[in-house]
Amino acid sequence: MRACREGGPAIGQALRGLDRAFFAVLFREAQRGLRDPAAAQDLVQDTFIKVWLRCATFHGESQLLPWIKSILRHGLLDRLRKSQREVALEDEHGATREALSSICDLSEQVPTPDNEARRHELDQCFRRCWARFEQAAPAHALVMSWIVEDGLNHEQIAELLGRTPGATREFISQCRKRARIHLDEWHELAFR
Amino acid sequence: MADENEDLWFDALAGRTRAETDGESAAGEARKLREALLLYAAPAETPVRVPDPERESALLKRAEREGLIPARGYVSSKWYAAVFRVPAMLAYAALACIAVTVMLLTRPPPDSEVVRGAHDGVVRVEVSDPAAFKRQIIGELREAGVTATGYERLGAQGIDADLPQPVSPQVRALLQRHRMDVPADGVLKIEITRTRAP
Repeated sequence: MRACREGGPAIGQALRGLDRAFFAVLFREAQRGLRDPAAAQDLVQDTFIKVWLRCATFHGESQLLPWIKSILRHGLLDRLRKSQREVALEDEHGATREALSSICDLSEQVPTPDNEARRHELDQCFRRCWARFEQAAPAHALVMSWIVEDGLNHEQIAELLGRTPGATREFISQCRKRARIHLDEWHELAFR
Repeated sequence: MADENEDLWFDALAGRTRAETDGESAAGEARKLREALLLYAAPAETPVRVPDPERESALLKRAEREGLIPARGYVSSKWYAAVFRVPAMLAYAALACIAVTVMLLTRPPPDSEVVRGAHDGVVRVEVSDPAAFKRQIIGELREAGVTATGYERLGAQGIDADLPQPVSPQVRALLQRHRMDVPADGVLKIEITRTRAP
């Protein structure tokens, strides 16, 4: 960060250092939201450039990674807002929504006496349902995953979304409702 | 009631425990969802190379395009390229020297701002061109997301601005750059007068 503030030739080395230290963790986060490796790499590099531009505002009172992550998350939400993503009829394995639904229904009928097998079945069903939720409501899915991983509170979410506290509460409520619709099959399995 | 239910769900999803019943309750539902999401988020699907020279090179090129670092010259191993490059570099250096000299000779005297301190919550600044300085500060505040009002009273320029709370890092940096303190009451009041003749 010192090199970043001072500028000059050290900036090249500083950018390399940023890439080496944080690319993997930021890429994973970006990839989860954008579902496209090239777009995720582009977003991470965009984030590094913003880190350089905003380094004067980083006073070291907070840790570096959460600060950089917050810049990435703002960028991620911006891109999701801008992109008019079409809901794909098939998932990455070529399965249609109806087929996935049938698989979930069938998996409910398969007797699973073993707990391990049931957990596996539950996990697979969740993955399919969550993937559909991510596709239908990417920003809501992302924010939910951030709540789980980083324990974000209402104020932090409001800051990320750039919304008022009331609008943020409504957004969270929508997260729950929308997730419930897409996770319905998983819900049936999990709470039966 | 609905809000209470939403809060229970939200806190449980974030891993904040509360005394609550399990099962079909909002908190129980969120806890199960949290477990599933933590499992889901665990594996990294795409392998990432660290360090990756190709990626780093792309990042540096991007930084060059954005003007953050000076563009690197084309590196060629051909001897004649080196022969032609030396005079060209000398010519660029000579041009740069001339440009700097012309700028130094023709530029107006530097407008250094002198902050005379804050009294009664008003920051007093002396500059050679108060109106221009007022416009500059209002513009910078606007870029940092603050709406500021400029005024002129009895020949002195002034700015009033309600700083959104909490004061953002951008605004703090801006004030720091101009050697001004963050006002305790969140209201920034600046009075700008012309620099007194020595």
